[in-house]
Amino acid sequence: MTQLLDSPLGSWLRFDVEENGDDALYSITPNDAHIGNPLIKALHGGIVSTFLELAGLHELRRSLSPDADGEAININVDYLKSVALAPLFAKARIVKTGRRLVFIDCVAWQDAAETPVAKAACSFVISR
Amino acid sequence: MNFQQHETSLKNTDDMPPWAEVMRSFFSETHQLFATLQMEANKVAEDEVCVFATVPDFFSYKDDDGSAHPGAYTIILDTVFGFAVFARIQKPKAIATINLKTEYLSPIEIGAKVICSAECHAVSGNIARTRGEIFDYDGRPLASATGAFMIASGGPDFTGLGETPRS
Repeated sequence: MTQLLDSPLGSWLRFDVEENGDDALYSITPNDAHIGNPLIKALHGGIVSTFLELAGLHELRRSLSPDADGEAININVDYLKSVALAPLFAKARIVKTGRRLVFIDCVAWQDAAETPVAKAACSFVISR
Repeated sequence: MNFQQHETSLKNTDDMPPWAEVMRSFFSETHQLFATLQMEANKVAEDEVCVFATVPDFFSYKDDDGSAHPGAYTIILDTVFGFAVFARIQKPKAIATINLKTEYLSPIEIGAKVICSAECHAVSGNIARTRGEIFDYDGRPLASATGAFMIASGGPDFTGLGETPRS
């Protein structure tokens, strides 16, 4: 389970997970390397997408088994608000787990969970 | 598919429209993210923007496996979509991604060199739509995507961005 956290990508994003019972709170702590628009110092949209998908994959492994793996099929991200260069938090919710497929929704926020900045729907095919 | 046929070099700064100058500055060392992905424009036209990119090693996310996280595709696509909007509206306006829908067609490896081709095929009011694909150098499709962008009426002024970091 620590695989994603310790991976080069996890370190680059400073990806973290805080697990509290059934709940997992995901976060990244971005820096200048993750800026998309340098004028307003906004986080790059692709970084937000990558983070939400990582959170989704971690949630998939938590829910199935640490040995289970998922291969993302596609991801749809909605950008609700510009994302500042500050810690970004997310929760992932498994919408449906089938025999072959898992559908996961993720929501990201910065200041408060009530004011989301992005949301994503990810589909994974399970590879065991 | 011959990518070499487009020798539109953004290194040639003469007769470059202002929005292309913004793009050139984005692809210089001053933009950390684009520099680490070794993004380099190959073609910039109203109907198509082509950019080369290389998947950096820190996109590795699985043990003992050369595969890169497909989020790398979304970074490349979101970037090139933005420039496709600039190329279409011919102005360096502030833009923001509204949605990005990405299909992962084939896994990607660390160090892979790819080309992203994108176009802004519709602009309606302040909303621009984009579509594009990522291929490997053999022309094999790796990812496809569509995006919607908001074009700001005001917002930050990009003109002059190219000059500032060059001291």
